[in-house]
Amino acid sequence: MAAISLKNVTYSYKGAAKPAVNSVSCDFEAGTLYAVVGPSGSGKSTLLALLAGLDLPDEGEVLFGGESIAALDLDLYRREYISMIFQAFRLFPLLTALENVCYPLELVGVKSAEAKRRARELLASVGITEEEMRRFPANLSGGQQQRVAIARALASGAKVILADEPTGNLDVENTQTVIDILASLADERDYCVIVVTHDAEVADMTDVVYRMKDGVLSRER
Amino acid sequence: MVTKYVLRHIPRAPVRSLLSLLLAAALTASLGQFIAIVRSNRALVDEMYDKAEVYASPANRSGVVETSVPFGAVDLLLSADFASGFYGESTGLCFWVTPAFEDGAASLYATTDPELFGRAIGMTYAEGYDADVFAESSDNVCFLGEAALEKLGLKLGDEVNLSGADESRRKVYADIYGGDAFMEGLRFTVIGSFRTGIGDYDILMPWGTIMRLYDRFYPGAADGDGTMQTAVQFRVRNDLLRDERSYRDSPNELLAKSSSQRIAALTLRVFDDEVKNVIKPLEENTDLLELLLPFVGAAVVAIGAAIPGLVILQSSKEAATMRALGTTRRRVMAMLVCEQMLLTLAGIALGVFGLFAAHGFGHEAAADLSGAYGYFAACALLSAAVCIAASAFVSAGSALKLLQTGE
Repeated sequence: MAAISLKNVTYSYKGAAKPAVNSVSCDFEAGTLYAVVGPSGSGKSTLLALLAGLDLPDEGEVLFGGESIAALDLDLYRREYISMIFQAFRLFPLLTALENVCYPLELVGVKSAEAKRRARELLASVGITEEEMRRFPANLSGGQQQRVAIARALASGAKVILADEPTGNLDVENTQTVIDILASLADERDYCVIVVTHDAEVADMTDVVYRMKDGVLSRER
Repeated sequence: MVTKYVLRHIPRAPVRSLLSLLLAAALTASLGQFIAIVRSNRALVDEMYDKAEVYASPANRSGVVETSVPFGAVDLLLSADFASGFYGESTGLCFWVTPAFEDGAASLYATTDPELFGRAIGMTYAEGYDADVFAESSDNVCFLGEAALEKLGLKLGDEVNLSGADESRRKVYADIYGGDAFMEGLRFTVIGSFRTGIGDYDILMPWGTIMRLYDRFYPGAADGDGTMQTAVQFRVRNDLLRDERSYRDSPNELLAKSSSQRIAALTLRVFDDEVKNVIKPLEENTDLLELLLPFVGAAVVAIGAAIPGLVILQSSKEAATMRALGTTRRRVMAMLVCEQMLLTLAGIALGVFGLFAAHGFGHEAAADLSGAYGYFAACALLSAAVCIAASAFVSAGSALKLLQTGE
């Protein structure tokens, strides 16, 4: 069974002449790193947002484990079933790297000490040192911030990671690092990782590539 | 989790937190002090009106004090209920204190308020007498000038004979009453003394007594216009000064208030320099401050409430991330509201504490600031309302919309 699926999903922004996502159907499997590519405004980020349950489609369904997410509490869905990574990192500026990773753990009720222990492990797994864990996001490089964001995404235990231009603000070296981490999650830990990108090189590093054009999704590779 | 968020955020954004705290404290203290000033000014004005001594005399249309006022008019003025005391000098009746005052008649004064009459010259009472007893008496009691007492070798409580009217009138009235009518029943107890200015022989009697004597020597005169009373002056009641603004602005309103045509026809010359020069400017200033208070209060409360609201609006990006990570809208609102309300309430508390400290704590401070409590509460409530509204705004709508707005 697909980890997450889209079934005839259509979504329009208020006042827009054309739908941003137009009757898209697609299955995303566990253990695979996907790329969704396409020009700006093609609807790829909207597609990712619908997968993330940030909003519900106007038509069609997003299925998680075969069940429509419309029937779920979307806050709970985002908290426990999927994780997001953003281009602009979106770390909490007043929390340290460690606390940022603790946040989703505390949100699901993990005790503070346990949350810290797990957050340390996750941060270490993406190459963040003890000293860097105590820093605030503003005192970390872009690459470090994105690795903290990946650790935060892993913290909730969700097996679906949705990354919206995760390398958009990174240099080549950090881009490679981030993609390597995401690829290893898919390959080694059976994660379903969907990366929205307009970077062809990033797309080349993924297992499956979809192209989005005018709201329509088609498999490219 | 909300507590942890708040406790982390406040110290980690020290400038923002300190500014919010100090601004709330400063606005609270400023508003409280403004209210305290208005209240203390009003209390001061009332107190000054209570202590003010405003005198009025009947005057002619040119504002010159009338030297001849009919007894009836004086009686009407007193009955018009705006005079708290009255004194006047009689010219229609004079006495000799027999047998010593052979060299001149004594000036005769009457009053309903010996304190008023003697406010500048000092009064001494015989044992068992005071101003009230004197004022309400119509017995044969009188005050004599200190020099007269000394000259006659009298002490307070002694009795003296008064001899009424001059020789020619004695004869006329002797024909009417027979015998020496003017020596009968004119034995007076000296119940007090006063320091006199020009005339050592001045005599002061209660108003009721002198009216009775007039009626005796000039039957019917007290009700008519024939007998005159000069140098009439009465004191305007303080409660009227304090409570009836129209009297202050236009003293002749006192007269217009009377239903008597005879009073309404009078004009008053008011001696109220203190009121005009000191109290009224302070009162006008206080009126202006009181007029401004609701506007100033509303502005301060609005600014005080707007600041935490604006801080929350600035947190929209953070709120969007929280929502994207699956934080419920209610929890996002709680985090944002609690942080700002904690700072605002702490600021208000700090401002109130500072105000109380400045006013020396205790009951006096509580009284000074009692009018401000409502504004403080309004500030806290409005701040809470604005914080809730702002947090509702930044967390409203789909998480997708929030993320796009927060980008």
